[in-house]
Amino acid sequence: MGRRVIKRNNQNAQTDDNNFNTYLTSSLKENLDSIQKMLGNPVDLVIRNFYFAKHACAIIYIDGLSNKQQIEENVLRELERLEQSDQTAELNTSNLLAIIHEQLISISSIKNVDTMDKLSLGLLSGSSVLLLDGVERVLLLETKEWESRAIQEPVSEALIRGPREGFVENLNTNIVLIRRQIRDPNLHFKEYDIGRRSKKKLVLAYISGIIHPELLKEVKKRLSSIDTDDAMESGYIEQWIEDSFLSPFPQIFNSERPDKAASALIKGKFIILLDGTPFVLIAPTEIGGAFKSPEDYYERWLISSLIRVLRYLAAFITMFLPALYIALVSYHQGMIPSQLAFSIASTREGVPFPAFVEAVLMGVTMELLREAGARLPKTIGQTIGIVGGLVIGEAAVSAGVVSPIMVIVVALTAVASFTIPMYSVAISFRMVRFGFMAAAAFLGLYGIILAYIMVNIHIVNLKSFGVPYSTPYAPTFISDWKDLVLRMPAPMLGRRPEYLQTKDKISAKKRRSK
Amino acid sequence: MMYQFKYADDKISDNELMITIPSITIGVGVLSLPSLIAEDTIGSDGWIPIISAGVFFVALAWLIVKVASMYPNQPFISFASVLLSKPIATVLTILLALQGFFITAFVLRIIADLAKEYLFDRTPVEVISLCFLLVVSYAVSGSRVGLFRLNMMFFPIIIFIIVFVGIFSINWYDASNFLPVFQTDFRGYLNASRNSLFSLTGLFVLFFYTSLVRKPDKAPKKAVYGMTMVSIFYIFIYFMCIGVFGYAGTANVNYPIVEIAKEVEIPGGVFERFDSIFFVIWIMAVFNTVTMAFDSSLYALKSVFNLKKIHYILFLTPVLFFVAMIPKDVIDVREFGDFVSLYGLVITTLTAIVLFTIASVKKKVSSEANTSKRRNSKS
Amino acid sequence: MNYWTEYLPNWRQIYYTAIAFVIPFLLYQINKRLHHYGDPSWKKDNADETPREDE
Repeated sequence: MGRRVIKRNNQNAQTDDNNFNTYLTSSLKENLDSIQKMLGNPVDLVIRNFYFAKHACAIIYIDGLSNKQQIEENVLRELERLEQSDQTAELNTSNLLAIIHEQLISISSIKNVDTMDKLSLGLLSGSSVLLLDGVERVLLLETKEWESRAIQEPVSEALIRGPREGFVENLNTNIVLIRRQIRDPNLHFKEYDIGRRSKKKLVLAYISGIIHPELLKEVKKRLSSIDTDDAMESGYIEQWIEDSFLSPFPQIFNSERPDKAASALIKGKFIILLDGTPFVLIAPTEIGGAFKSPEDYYERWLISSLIRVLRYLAAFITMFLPALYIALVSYHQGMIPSQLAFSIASTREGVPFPAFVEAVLMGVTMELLREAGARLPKTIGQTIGIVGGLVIGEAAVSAGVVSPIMVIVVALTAVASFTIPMYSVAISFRMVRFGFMAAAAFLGLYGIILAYIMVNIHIVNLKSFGVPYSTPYAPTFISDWKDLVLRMPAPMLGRRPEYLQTKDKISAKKRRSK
Repeated sequence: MMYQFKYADDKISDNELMITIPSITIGVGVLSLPSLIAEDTIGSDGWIPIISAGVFFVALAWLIVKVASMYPNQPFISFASVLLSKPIATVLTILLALQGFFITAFVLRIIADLAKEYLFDRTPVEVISLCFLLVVSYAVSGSRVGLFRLNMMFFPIIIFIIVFVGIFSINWYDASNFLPVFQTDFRGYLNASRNSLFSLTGLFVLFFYTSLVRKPDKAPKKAVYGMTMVSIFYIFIYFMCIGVFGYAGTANVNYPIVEIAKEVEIPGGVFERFDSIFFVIWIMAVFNTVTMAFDSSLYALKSVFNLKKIHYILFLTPVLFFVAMIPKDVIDVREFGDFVSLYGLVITTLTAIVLFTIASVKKKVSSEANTSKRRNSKS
Repeated sequence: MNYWTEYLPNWRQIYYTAIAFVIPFLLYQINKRLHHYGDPSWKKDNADETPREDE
């Protein structure tokens, strides 16, 4: 259905300003005119007219999208050579195009098209177009090349141990990066055009022998239903295909790391690459995945397991610590050990606000600092951390606005939230934290546990492409617990996650004769 | 229809059914059970009534799941109609739905009273129980399998906290508390058994949920496991209380297990008053009880009157709250509780026995008819 | 034995009972609206074809 929508829109886009022909004509001049008209006489359109075997020809390309040197050396010079060779004798208008198509071997990919639509798409994606007078078709010569960032270490997901390369904005480079990790002929890339006007390339990658076929069908259905003008970043795609837009938790993870994407593919997930962004989407996901970092598999299992336990602890600190502080200070003073209770009480002496206001104040300040640090250039960003963290904290305490314990709580929360490998999940946790704080202010520990139950209710109802978000906890797959809170030794992780119901798993199930 | 993996559809696994049983039975009842039993028994004799009640309920659980799994994937009302005719089945369904309704209302009230006792004294009962009810309503308005997943997620936590309390209270155990043995008279055993029976109600949900099980033939065995788990759990808790307080001491406190938690000292002294923590965790257990009861009641009502589930929830939420707030004092609440338990016990047992008898008679008749037919065709 | 008149609800009970209706009702309505306007097309198609049993 979505397919149809896109097609219809394509036609609309053409008929909107219908001064030019949909199909190419046999007149070179007419064709050139209509191309110029269609593109609105752009300054960067290069038109090179010449004669080839006494036929008027033209090669056009967009300056900056195509490799000029390649056009010169591999197209124009080759054509010259071809003209001088004896084959020219048998050339006539009808077979000219076919001969060039065959003989122009120095260009890796040549397409023979006849519609304005395909021509413009090729031209705008960087191909150069060879037009011949008297022929109603043109050749699209693959001469794409534009400036792009070199492969660098991914900024948002730094590892101590692991590959240092990250995805870049160039789709082809990204595909290469994945191909270099997985040399499986079953690794398939399916291409989509996204955006009515931006016409971006989107690639769905999966390993066809592993991924569950119905999962694939579902994601294809969702991808083809996308109907939008543009897709600047993979986040656009994420929001179009995610299961619940009301959930605070991301149902599709993103990553800049080819190794992470490749390991997701091998597990039986799919990934979505979009041209123009280094962030690829990985789905389906589950809540446990938020605590996994690729490094877990590179380090030895004992270290990784301990670090994962630490991350779970960090998640709990992020969500509960400020709320617990509020609940204990305002409702259950009796639960704090008496020594500590006295010191808390004495430091809170001059603080004019109730614990909730204090916690929200500091919590919001922390978010402000984080946001400011993220927006500013890196060098200044660090300064913000120092100025904000130390100076404001210190000053706020000595001014008696907040208690020192509160500063400890907030700082601990901030540090803990940064240990979660998935940035988008860490944000959700920090968001949910404010809900917990409100619940604690309202009903103390009772409120916290009710809020916790509510989060759990939400998680068990949430799905990511048909996979329950709470799996493998519940629906329970004990065999998947080997790579959950603990990361068992690598030889024990011989099986793919059962919750993904990968293809070979299904055949195994059949053999077990249920 | 959006695609779902086989394991993520509307069905539940047999293990999830097994966990359902502890989830619905372990709730507020077990908190006061040791003290109620210790009132009527001497020494550590209380395990006998618990076991006898446990055996009874294991049998009942098997009976219910057996009869329900004889008609695999059929909802209660349809196989009850086959066995008993449509009008009687409808009445039975409504009676069972009422049972779920009453359990929900009663627990709602108890949880508020308990929270007032162990967490805060100033917040009004209404607010405490309303907040709980709203969370429960949110839970049941989601998918039904979600509730079973919640059971699966909370159950280990609940077991953990009890074992934790058991381990860290080990210093207070006194072997002499378990003595004397076999001194209780028959009347005492009878009273204690009655109380144990009351704290084990909730099996009626199996009438409805067995039809959701993916492999019904395995279900009766799993139900037996589930109920056995509960009985062992209860005996464990009972011995814990007796070991710490002795039978006289246990009888004197309302919620002995929470009192034990009060004595627990976590090494390092991070928290004082562990009872609050214990109670807060226990809310999860109570929550599971209530969602199961409420949801099965919704399931029952939905099979009788064809309305949207959300409409029932919107209607029942205020009604439940209203009913929960009717009892005026502790005595009223206790009477209410006794009524709920008795009602549940009678209705569940009767339904199970009647259905099972008719079902097995029918099966016998049909199999005899089959064999006679075969014999006829042979001759 | 108490008289039945003692069990008549007081104003506070009625007030909270009203809240017990209003809050879920409002949330349900808001949720319905949000899903109506916010759901992408692939989700809406499903809703039209097969209304889920649990809604």
